[in-house]
Amino acid sequence: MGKIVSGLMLALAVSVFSLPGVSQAPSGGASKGIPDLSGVWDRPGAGNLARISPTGPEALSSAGGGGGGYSNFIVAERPSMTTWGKERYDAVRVGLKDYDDQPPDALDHERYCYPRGPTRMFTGGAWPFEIRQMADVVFFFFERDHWVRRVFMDGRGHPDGYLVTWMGHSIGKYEPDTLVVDTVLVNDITWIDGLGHPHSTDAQFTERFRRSGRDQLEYTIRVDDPKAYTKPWEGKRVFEVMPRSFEIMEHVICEELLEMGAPRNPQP
Amino acid sequence: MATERVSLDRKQERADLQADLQLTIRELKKKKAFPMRHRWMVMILGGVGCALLAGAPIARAQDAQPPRMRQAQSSPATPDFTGIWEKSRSTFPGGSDRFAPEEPPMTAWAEERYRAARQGVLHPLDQGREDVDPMLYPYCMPPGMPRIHLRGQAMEIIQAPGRVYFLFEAGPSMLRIHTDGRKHLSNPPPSFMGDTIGRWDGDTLITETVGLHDWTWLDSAGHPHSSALRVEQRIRRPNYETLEISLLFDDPKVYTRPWTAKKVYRLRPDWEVLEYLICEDTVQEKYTQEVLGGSEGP
Repeated sequence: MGKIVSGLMLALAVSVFSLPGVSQAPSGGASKGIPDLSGVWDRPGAGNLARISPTGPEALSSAGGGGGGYSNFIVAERPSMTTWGKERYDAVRVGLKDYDDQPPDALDHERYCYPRGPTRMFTGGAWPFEIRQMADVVFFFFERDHWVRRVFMDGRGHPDGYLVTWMGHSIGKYEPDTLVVDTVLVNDITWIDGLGHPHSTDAQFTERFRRSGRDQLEYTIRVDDPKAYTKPWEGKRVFEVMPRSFEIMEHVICEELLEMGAPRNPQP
Repeated sequence: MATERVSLDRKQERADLQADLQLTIRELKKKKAFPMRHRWMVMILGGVGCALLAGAPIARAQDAQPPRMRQAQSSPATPDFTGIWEKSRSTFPGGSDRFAPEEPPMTAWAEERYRAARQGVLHPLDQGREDVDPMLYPYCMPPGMPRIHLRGQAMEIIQAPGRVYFLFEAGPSMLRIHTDGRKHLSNPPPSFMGDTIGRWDGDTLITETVGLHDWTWLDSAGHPHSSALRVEQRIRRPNYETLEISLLFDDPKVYTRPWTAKKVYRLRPDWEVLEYLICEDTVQEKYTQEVLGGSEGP
């Protein structure tokens, strides 16, 4: 009888220790080439802006958070734009003095209820997101306007003739400690970041996600868009893991602008 | 900036909610917790057991497999609803806009609201008035729960430990179903998709959604609902290609008794979920004209 009880307890103990999702800390998948990035991520206290790295391009290759400097989206140097890119950029930055100034709301596509686009979800203002890693797809669930990004991990390429969409078409692969996401065919109305950096529908975004610490997620992006920029450029941001009780909520874009919720209907 | 203001509002709302959530989680942990006097024994035996089983085939297999497969192994009795689904054609006339062929049992207040939403509508099977439909311009609200089940766009289901996600192409909209045993938030803020909990009962997932905005219509015909609406879903997969969702609507402020409906979805393994934005072709074209001056890009 004693052996049975001990056996039951042993099995119970093993099952308890192997419960999925007991902690949001890494669960060891990295050793098999699949880093565990699942969880809810945010950047509490972060601003809504992009910044030029104070230390230049080398800052993007450093591992740390730079004393909190990465609470914002950091670009190594000002992207060098083509004429088309500059025209688009200037069109939404009328009257602004400093590079770090945010474009006025009146010129922001979000104020017209357009989706934020795939990259500004990470480079823009502070809204949490959830990563769910499935067998063939990695999902990003964003609180911002309850958007979903799907990254196909089954080895497919970008299909010919695919639609231009707000989130684009994303494929991915795992490197030893990194999820690498390649995205194309993004609607060119969206911005790359909160400063209004434009892109064309020919843009290719390479995003890399890795745990730079137990509770940190490092996000880097490389923008390759010859129609908008004279050379590729990169940026970086660091996110923090949220506690397990932290839930993604529901945000609906333009909820406050349109007549949503106007007391049109008397209540019973 | 307005965007920042919204963020700050959300942060405050979130801060209030986190306290509520912490309570819920604590209650859950307390309910599941081992008696303290047994914990030390479990830990010791667990440590020994883990060491002994460190090289066991099961453990290695779980590590090597993606999360979705791990979940399937950890709970073999849990039905698998994952996949992309398309709503099947309705079995009764007007069924693409309403849940039941007969009128639900409305209160006098609801009758009045329903008549107002259909004033001037010629055919009884037509949709409600477009100019007061909360989903149409200029309101452009998400369909919300349960009207989302009347949309024709795709629905994807994914399952994870303690969660089931219904990802709807329309909106897009997402229904997060907590299956970890938690209760509803004590005072959930109204939302379009509500606060949803669920449990597995054999081959069926039973869910309950509360905390819904009363701004939305229950269906496209214009039937109203209040923020007290409770939607129950019983979801099962009678065969590989079919998903059945039995719905129960309970809203004592609006309906004199609960009423039911059923929606059937068909598996679409070769589909991808695309994007469908509410009002994309009306509200948002202003930006192209006013800011970009009609520019279509290089």
